Amino acid sequence: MRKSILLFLFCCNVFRTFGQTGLLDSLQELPEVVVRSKVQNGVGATTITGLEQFPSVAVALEQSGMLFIKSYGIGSLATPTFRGGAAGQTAILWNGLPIQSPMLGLTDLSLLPTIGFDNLAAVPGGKSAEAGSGAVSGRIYLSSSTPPAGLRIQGGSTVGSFGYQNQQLAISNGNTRWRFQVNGQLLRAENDFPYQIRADLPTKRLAHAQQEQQVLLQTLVWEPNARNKFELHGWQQHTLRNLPPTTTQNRSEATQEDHIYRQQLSWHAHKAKSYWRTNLGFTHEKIHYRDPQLLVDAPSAFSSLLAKVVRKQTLKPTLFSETGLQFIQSWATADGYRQTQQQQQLGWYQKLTAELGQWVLATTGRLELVDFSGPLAVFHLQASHDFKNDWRVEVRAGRNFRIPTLNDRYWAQGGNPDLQTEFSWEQEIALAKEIHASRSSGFAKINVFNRSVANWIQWSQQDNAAFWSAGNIAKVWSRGVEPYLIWHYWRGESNLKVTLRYHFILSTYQTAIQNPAIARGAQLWYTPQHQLTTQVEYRRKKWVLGYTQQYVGATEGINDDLSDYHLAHLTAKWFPQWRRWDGQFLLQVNNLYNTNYRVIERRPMPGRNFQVGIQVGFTANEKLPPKKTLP
Amino acid sequence: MRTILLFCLLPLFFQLPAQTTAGFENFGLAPGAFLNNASSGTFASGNVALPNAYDSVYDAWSGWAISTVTDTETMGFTNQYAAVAGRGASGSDTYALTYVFGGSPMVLTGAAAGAPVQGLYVTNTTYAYFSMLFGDSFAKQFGGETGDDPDFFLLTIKGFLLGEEKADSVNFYLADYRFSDNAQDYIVADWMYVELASLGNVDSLVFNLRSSDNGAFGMNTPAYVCVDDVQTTDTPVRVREPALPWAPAVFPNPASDQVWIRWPAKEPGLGELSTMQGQLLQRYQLLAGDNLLDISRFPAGLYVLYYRQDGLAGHVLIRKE
Repeated sequence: MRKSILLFLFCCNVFRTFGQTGLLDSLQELPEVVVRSKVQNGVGATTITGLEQFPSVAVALEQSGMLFIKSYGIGSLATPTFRGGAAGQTAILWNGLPIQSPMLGLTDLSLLPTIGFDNLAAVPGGKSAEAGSGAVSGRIYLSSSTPPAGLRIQGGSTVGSFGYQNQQLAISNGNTRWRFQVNGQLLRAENDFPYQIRADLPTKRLAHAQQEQQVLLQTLVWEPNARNKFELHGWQQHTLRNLPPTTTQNRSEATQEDHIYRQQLSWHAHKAKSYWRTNLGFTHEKIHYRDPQLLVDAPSAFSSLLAKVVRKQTLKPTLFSETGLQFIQSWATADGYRQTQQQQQLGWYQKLTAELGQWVLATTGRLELVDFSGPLAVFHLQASHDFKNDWRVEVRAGRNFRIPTLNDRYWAQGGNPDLQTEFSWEQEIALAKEIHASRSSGFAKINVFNRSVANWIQWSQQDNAAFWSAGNIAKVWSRGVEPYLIWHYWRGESNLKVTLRYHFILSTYQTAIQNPAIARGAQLWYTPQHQLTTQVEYRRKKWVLGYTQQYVGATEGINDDLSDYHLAHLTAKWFPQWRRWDGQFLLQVNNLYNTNYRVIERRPMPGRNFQVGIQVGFTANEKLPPKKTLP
Repeated sequence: MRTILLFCLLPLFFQLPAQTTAGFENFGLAPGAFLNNASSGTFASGNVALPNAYDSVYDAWSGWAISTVTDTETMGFTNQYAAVAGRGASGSDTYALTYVFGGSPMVLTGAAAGAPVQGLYVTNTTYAYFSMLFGDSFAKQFGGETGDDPDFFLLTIKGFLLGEEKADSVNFYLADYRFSDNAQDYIVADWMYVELASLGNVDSLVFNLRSSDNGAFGMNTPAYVCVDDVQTTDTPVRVREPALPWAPAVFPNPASDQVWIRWPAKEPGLGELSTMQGQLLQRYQLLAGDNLLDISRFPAGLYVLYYRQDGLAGHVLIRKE
């Protein structure tokens, strides 16, 4: 065991040179789970599996169809849009702690790696009462892998079009008391894909789009007894990206370098009728934007100290309590700030859940102090009822909030220290039905939601000022319908799964703004009204074939309107096993029909592209790791 | 002999109006420097005054700046004070430039107020030039993705006299990609003379910029233009309203909420408060003695108070802080 700990510490020290060494892939087939509409997870919560086949969380979410991703191109900035909300209105939590930048209020999903995580869940709907600031339109949960007992080594490599190379390595070892896991990733891509402006014009090739990324994720688990477990998680990452020119830009020399250090210590304590989880986290992120052409050199950085204590208690067999206390202290520096800016958030919430026959009722209230002033008060109510014949109704309502970012408040010029917090009212109702037959099962659900956000923060030219400034000048009304269907059919060793997911979303400004020119009733930029995703997956023995078809409706951009488009992706996987060895061979074809499309105007997207991957795993024990099967 | 006599007498019959050229050399700027903070609220050269506003909190400016920056290579907003010609017009060192937001006014002063402006030189800033030539992360390369987009960057100069906009205006294309033959497309990279005498008698000019590259956040092309050698005349061609021989005292100026106008005549006068772009904001009757003007509801900036009495007129600038 001591050797294992030493290895863990050694890996911490060699991270600086990690990017110079050739690493093997680590791929592990994650459990295939569809989280049905549990009250505690919100309506329509889903989990993405097979995460490692994607280059980033952004691509995984994009192809899932669970939300809309505003992508500036492969390897470029990608931000989430749940139910017509802004990017900063999605809370992104890693093991329960938020990782959004306090400066920007968001996280670039293209920077989130796909190694070292057991679980990626995307949950539509606000729930600030539990998740805190930013959980207005949706939440994304990342959960670190739990290392298995015994030595296991997994490695592999994926290569693909446009110079894509992704090497991964995972090592885990330990026993029932001590366990560790180290995941490393080395990713490089040229991203120099060809694109066409128009069919009659010559093909161009995207330039200055290379990216390099090194990631190291580590987990150390200590379980001194059955009631206590300590986990130490480390996440270190370095990403260097060249920022390509737009299609109306001759050339670009801009680069962005991100250094990310996230550490987290958690303590899980189980008692007779209660459970305690304590998280301590520290985050330090540096972003360095450079543009030699413009003589711009703009470093910025922030640090956050996070602490969260959650106590879950069984008051009665049908009555449960959850209490949480969260504190976040952030410091940020940037050339745009006159001095280091700080922010404190102290939140306390109380949740009660009661099971009354076929009813499950839950209510959550939260008080939040921002910079020790306030408090802000939000709440969340939810109820579900199971009827006969596997029908189920869920109702949710709540008030959610997002505090202004440090850039909104302090950026010179235009930052507004007097900005108010954004508040939303959201209501949602869902009807679900499970269907069971001898060789098939299905699950269908339809959600209808309504959300109004007041104090929406918008940068604009106010009072004839010659510069842009942040103000609580907008009000946005979002509403929509989200049908969802999943159907399984199996026969012998064959299994067919079909998933349909559709979003119809109207997200409109309720106030007119002069500059930027926004008309009352206008749909938010880059927010499609229609989004349809169909996934078909066929499994037989150790083979998996997957096909995804997506339709994204037309959107309005800041400069130009964007046409609707269809995309298709094809995946083939083979999972051989031989004694202590297991493997995975992957063939992926993205944008199968070579669609010429844009998500953001003037930002080209790649046509048909391929990825081929091989991963090999070795387990020291005779007994293979438990294989995940379809539910 | 008669010919010589006629030649000598001609100037007596055809007195040419005197001209003054505002070349901005009077600021004595060292090479590679710029002024973006006019302590009096205007940069004055020759017979023109260029309004400027500076925000010390944000180190931000608007209106006009004076520059001797010669950088013709650096792209982007960090080089916003440079003329792409690399120097002033006619080989001079100093020139003016304006960031145009809703119209940049140029006020004629002294004997030039109310008289024609013969013309001036204009060119692009290096920032705007390269933005149009190569595109940047906000603005498009002129010609667009295909090279065929009919893009343009248009300077419109409007004339004003006593708060009224002249019927005519003068257009000048700082870039023009509207030609069917792309070889004719151009972006102005040197000083170009713009004839303005056609505007007639004016007491202020307002510069507006328009581009074919626009988005929801307004014009994407950097809204800058450089100006030099403004040639004003000192005699009005035809004085519509002769100037009052006196001017009312205005205090405090600058002011934040209220301004007093001390009207020295017994007969009342008419006052008109306008923006620098000529938009009439309010009319007042100016009575003998002190008149209080409430300007609290107007945003900070420079305003013009025109005053008239018995067919005579004048104007005074008021700065709202």
